[in-house]
Amino acid sequence: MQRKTQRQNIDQDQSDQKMDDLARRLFYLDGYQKNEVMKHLSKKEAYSEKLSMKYMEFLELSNQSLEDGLRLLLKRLALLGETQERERVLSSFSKQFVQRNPTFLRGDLDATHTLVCAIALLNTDLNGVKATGRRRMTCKQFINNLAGMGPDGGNFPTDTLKEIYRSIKKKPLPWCEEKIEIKSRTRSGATARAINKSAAPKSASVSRSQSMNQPTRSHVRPLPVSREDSGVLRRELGGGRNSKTKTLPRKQGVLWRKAVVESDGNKTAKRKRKWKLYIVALQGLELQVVKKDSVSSQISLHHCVAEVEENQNATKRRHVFRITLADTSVALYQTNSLDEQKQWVDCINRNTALLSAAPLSAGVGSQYRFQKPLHPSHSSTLPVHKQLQDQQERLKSLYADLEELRNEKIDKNRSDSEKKYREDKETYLVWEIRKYELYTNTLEGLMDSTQQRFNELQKVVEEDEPPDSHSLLSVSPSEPGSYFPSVTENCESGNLSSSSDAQHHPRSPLSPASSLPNLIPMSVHRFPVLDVSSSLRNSSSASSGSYEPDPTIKITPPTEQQASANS
Amino acid sequence: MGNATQKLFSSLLGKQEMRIMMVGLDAAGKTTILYKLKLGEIITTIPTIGFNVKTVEYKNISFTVWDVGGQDKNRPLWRHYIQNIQGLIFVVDSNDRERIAEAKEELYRLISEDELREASVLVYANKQDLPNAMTVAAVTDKIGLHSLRNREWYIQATCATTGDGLYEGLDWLVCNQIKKARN
Repeated sequence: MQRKTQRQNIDQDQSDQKMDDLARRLFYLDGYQKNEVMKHLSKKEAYSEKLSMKYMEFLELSNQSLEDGLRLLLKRLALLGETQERERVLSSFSKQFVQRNPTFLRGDLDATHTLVCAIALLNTDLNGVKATGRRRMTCKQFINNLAGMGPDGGNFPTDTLKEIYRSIKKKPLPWCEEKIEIKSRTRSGATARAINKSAAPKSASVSRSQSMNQPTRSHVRPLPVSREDSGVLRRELGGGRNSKTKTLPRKQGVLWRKAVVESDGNKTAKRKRKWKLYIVALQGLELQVVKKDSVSSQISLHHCVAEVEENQNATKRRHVFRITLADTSVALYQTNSLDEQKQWVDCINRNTALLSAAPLSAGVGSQYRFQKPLHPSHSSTLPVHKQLQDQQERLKSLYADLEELRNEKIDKNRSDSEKKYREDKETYLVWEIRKYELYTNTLEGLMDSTQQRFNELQKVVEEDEPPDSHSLLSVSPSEPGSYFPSVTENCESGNLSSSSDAQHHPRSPLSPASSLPNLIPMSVHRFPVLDVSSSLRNSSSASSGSYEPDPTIKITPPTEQQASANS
Repeated sequence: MGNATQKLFSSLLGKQEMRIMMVGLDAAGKTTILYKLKLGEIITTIPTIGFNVKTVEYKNISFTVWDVGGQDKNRPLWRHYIQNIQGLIFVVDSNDRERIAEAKEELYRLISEDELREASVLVYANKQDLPNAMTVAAVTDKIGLHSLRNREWYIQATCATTGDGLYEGLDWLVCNQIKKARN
């Protein structure tokens, strides 16, 4: 965003003076850092090209060898980005080099540029991470590779090439140290956040992801984030998922886990197929599985199905549920009570139904094989009713597809690949239908309970109509958290129920449509488990996990007593 | 696929190296893909000055991916590195309708090159997460994959920023390679 506006601003004032000034500042790193220079020079547009030419004029290239000139440049900027971008900047460099050294390679610009790129490539080859099973380029290979690419379609002078090879091998091109420093800084999200906070104390209250996405708001120059860094940074700070994930409750507990089927459809190897104890935490679409020795792994639950394991004889254990992931791998989890089992299954199915994004089209290839559509791992941003609508339509088309497939006339002489295609497709369709039936049922349940709650609320408001309606509304009905017991105590917004928060909360969001996207995930999950939680209160030792109903919360909705107490 | 592939492959041929070249227009997402494939190592590797080259280990096969880009006249420079290329990954920005014709031209120019005679073609229809993205079918059509003769090809929807689809595509390359090795 910032880059764009910055560019636009610059575009508005095209005067050469400004450009000279910018080029100078970029070159002398006045207000810029080494890894920020590249993005100004590498764009595929006239302005950027012109600017990079101006920039190169500051380099003292006269009477330098080509590789030393390149070293001068790379001390000034970090060569980052795509191959094309890198090449554009090197192209400007070559032009400048030829201007300053008109006799070099008989002044052939193309040949010079080729040689510059060849040097960069040679540096990667000689000094980069060595690929397995490949040898570093020899001097002879270097010369051979450049055959016929020299000035006027001839060869480069062999001596020059030998000289370059020796030089690069002996002394790698400099990689700007500043970059490394920044990388190590961004490695810990905490530090990055601390920097941000200290830079802009006002924005400290902004959510983490927001403050990272718009670091430019702060008064200090933003923390430089190169393309390759940004993904990591986002992951580390947990801002990658959309905000809907945050309103969803988390659930965690200590569970036994056993992998049964691998992603290829085969049984898990026997040595791996053992019950092991893990700390399992569910947040949004992610299931974090932590071993005793703190080795943790993230399982993405998108498009998964959680179900109660019926076949107790097979597992020889009770209260087991199974999760089938999008990649068709299966794992069993054992809880220590029936209620826990149900809660886990409900929680997981609710989250996946709400957050699984629409599948992308399947791959197409030259071979005749059935390809499954791609199930993306990112979360859906649709509000609940849209998500439900989307899934209902998908379900409908799946039914139609299955019917079509089954009614298709079967050719007796069909080939094996055709048979396989049909089998694969049918298996896939049957599974998808089952999955989407589960999802739509879950979401319909959510919608119904919300509607029900909304009706109840409205009824309360209509019946009472006290003189001071504000005081009533701020007491409870507008607060989902205080109205129904919370299942998960460590849910981020669980403390909504505290009275101080209630006052800050917008009052009475009585239109279901407007309140759906944000309120439903919170309020709804409480509804289906209402009965479970009340029964659980008596069996205190039922859960080893996080479930601990808040004793201060009353299930009974506010009644006339309360209203009369108010008056 | 998956484990079976791995077992089959290692029993047939032992640990293998597969050379792959990745091409595509500017801003198609090649660099993101390359870094995404390396995942854990993004932070620890200090890149060398030069061009983007990465080795990715996947299913007992080490993929050396060359991010080849830039001007045509410099393409011969890559000769040395991409000899005996077995796979070509062509990255298309599914959101860029204006330059899809240019992408097609680039693809055809590449596969007519001698070094790439044997290469299977894997197309990543990238940036599928954007709302206006063309579907896989549309991209297939626009770059004329159906008219490719005597060539194994596969097109996969991907979203490089989340990594969705990348390994599914590689899976196809691996399977295809096994088939070729058998014959």
